[in-house]
Amino acid sequence: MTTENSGGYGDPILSFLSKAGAKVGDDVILEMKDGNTIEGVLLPQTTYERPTIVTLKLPNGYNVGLSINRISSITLKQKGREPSFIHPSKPASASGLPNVTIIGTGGTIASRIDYRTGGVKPALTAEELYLLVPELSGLADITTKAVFNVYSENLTPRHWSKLAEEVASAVMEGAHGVVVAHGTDTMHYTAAALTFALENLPVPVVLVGSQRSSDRPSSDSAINMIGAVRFAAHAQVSGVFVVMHAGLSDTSLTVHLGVRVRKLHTSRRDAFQTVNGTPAGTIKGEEISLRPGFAPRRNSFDGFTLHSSFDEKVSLVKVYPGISPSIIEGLLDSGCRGIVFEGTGLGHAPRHLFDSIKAAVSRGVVVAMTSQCINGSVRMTVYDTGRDLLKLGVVPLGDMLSEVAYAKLSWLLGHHNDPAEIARLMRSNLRGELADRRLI
Amino acid sequence: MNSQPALDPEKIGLKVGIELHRQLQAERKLFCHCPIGKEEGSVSFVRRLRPSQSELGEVDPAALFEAQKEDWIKYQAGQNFSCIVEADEEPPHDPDPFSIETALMIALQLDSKVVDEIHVMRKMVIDGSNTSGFQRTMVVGLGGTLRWKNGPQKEVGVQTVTLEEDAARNIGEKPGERIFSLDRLGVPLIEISLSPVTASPAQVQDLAMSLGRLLKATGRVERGLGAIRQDVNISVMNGQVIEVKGVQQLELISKVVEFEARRQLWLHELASRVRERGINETDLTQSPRELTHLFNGTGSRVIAAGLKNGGVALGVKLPRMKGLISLEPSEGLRLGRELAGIARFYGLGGLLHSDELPGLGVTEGEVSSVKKALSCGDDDAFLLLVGESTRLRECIAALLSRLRQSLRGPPAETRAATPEGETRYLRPRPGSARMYPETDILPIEITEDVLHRVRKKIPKPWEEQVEACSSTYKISLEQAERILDSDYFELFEKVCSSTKLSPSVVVSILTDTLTAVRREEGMDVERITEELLFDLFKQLSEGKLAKEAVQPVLESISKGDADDVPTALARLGVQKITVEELRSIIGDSIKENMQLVEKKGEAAFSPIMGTVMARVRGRIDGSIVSSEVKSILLKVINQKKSEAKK
Repeated sequence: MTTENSGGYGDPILSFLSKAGAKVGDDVILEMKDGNTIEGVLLPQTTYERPTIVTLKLPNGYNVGLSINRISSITLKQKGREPSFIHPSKPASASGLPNVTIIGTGGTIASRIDYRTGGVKPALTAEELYLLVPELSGLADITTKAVFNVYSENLTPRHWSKLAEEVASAVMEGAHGVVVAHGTDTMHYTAAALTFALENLPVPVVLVGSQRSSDRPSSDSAINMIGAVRFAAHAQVSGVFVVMHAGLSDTSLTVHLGVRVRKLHTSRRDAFQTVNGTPAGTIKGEEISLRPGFAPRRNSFDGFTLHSSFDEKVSLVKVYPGISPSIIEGLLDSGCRGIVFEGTGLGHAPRHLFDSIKAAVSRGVVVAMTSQCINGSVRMTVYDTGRDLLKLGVVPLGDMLSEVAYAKLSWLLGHHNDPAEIARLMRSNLRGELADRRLI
Repeated sequence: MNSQPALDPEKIGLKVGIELHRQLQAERKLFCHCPIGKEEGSVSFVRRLRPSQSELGEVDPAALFEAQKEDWIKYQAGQNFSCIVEADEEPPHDPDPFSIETALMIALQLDSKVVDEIHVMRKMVIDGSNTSGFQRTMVVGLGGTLRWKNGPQKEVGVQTVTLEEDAARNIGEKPGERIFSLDRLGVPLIEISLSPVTASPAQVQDLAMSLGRLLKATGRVERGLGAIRQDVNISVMNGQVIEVKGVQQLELISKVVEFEARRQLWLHELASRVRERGINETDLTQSPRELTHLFNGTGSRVIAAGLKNGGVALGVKLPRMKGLISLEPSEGLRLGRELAGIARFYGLGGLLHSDELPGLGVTEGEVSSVKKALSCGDDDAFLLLVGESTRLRECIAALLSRLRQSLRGPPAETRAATPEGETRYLRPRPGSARMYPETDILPIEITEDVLHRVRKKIPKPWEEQVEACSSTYKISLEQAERILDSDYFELFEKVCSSTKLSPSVVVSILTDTLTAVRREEGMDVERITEELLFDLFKQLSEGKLAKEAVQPVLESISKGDADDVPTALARLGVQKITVEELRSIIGDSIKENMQLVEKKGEAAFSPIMGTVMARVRGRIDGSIVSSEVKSILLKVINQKKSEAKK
């Protein structure tokens, strides 16, 4: 038996399995020490800290864990067959539908279940997507591209560069819209990064994910994906957006501007919310409504420019009571070029950090300030602390979200060297990331 | 059907397997920290479910059907008994330890092999009753035995002991929308599946009772209507197993088994008749024909309604089936009725067939033109359906498939128990391929230490509890069993410890009197809460009402005439009266009936007693009335005698 199909089992279970010639996925019979027998499909080990537990799927579909200490022998009843997921051919989509490229980053948009073992298999190709979400074939002529296969918490600014390049090439190849299927944890960071990297986009680029796993019948993945593809194919705007479930009901989706959105709940379907403003629009059934003011969709590539460099030597630091200056000193020692503070209240950091901040600025590190209040704008002239921080050279970032500020600083450092110029650009509204007014 | 000879379970090969579901009396729900209670709440939202796809070719018929309906599911929720876990907006919490412990306790009592690691599974259910689209469930014990004192066999095998979450409560349905309340979703349920037994319907009911008593003995299971649901799997003559869902009352089990066994026997009988006529599967694979044009301006309301809004009429020929569709060997057993159940399942109201036509507004002329269009001969039958074309074609395919199955006897399907103890078609039997792991919850290790602790908490068995109850409260074994079987044992104990009432009187009120009230029509016994009963006993022991007033008071409250005991007493005019007041009433009654007294003497006691009781029933103890009537009457008679002497 190779380690690959040993299902994570080690001795003593492995030697029982070797003797039986059984591997994970096979139908086996367990002879119990009490004289009974139990039949089922051998499943991989589920809990590594319990090496004596054999996991079995019973004929009634239930999984159970049984201790090897209660088992006198294991015999092979039948070799398991591989789940035969049928690969469907792509249905002919109605001619004249817009082209949409769906870029996969590792999230599972849709999946199928192998009920024999309980395994979940993600749909990767356009064909599989059509099969699981048939509505898509009536909306767009879809091309899929898997760029990487990582959970979104493992993405880095380097991934943003690669992703921006992939989106740009899809647009240059004539996509009427691009959908990026993304894990939700860091989707708002990626949305901001793409917004900065893709200047003068002629078409919509839509990030979409699901909050409830796609292997559950109640998942929001299909409705979100349908909305995202509809938006990418048919919305008369350009730019980077996030399309996700609105509220508790499966009746509408919200469209957020890529630099104005944040994940505000760990698990709810409507976790993504536009902060410091109203959402860009909504999608209800077939109807897309957008508030005015967005750049229209264009038929030309004029001015469309890719700036895909991101500098990874940037840190996002949350200010908290008792924060130690050694955090900043450590960052400086590691060659950090930019720090975004998520300050308290109107944009504050405690006085005992001032020396380390001063040292950072004097070394040419760009130090900028957002607020951990999430809602509202920093205003650093109200209290002494804020005024003193400004004097130290800290750049106030208005109502820019801290995650957006982090992506923006990483991007600016990828393209500029002059700290003064970077500070000026940080304070400028380049893509709608800053607003002067916050409505009542 | 009562007139029919009793079923011989051995002879007909009756096999019945019981699955008992019972809510646990837990502090919280199984997968979240919500307390348990009833509310409909003001938050509502709508969802749609998509079946998670399996490998192709393994489509679950039940799941597929639900998906085809494309209905909206509306959920109603409150803040007290549901949270965002029930709304499927938050991952499940770790399972309630009390519920796990109770399930282990029950598994141990049944000598079931407790698994070493419990794995929570997702069982696909996409009718909307679970917001997630699956029910979370876990096997706790494998195998085991239940002792069965009164059974034809002394032990019955246990297949599995599982712990699962209850589904949301269906609170309404309208076209295109099903409505559920989230309060019940997630309530812990224990499920015990017994191996099939061959026994009479009454014995099966006794078996369910034995199992129910074992659960009750833990003191950890919920009581009352809705807390218990039994599914019964029934087959006869080695035929297919039919699953009957949702038998809520124990008393219905024997009826359901009896009905279903007879239904299946008849379907076996029908199969042989169909085969005798030489009908084969090909005969029952006809293509339907569109007959809409034959019903222009029809006088049949059923057909006219079905043709509205672009509906069509389709007919299908059933060669040599004439007379078999409406054949009714005993009441309620008709092939036509079986087929109508399937049509209803597809949302089609009207299924017409040739055995009942002409009739229902369909004329002889229309029948002969249908026959002609379908080329029906004299021995042939036909089905006629109206409605939306796609749904109609799917329904006809299902009907023909059902008819083909009828060649082999009763088909495997899921049926629902009716309140009358019959069964009706619910849906195709779900495939077995519907389970996958709940990856949000880690497997739970059950060590020998855990089991050791649980073993120490196992309560006394039922029989010992009955004996203990009998000796503690000085009531008969029979009374002890009755109060323990009832939902009121805890209340009984509370009443006995806090009032001076005789335990035997309390038993009688909590069993006989309540049963009598329940049997009367127009009674909503849910209005009689435990608090109300406790108050009633308190007032009874304080002499504020007489025993005789208990039933009228409970009836008055069930009817909705009063909300509490004092109001009911006032309404009924049965506030307690004093002996003085009684005496004056007796005096009045005697005066009113003086002629009778003069004529009959002491024999006037009964009529006078009757008149007085009509005025004071429930307001004073009957024995006091009797002795007072006797003594006053005697006094009056003596007085009259002495007056006469004078």
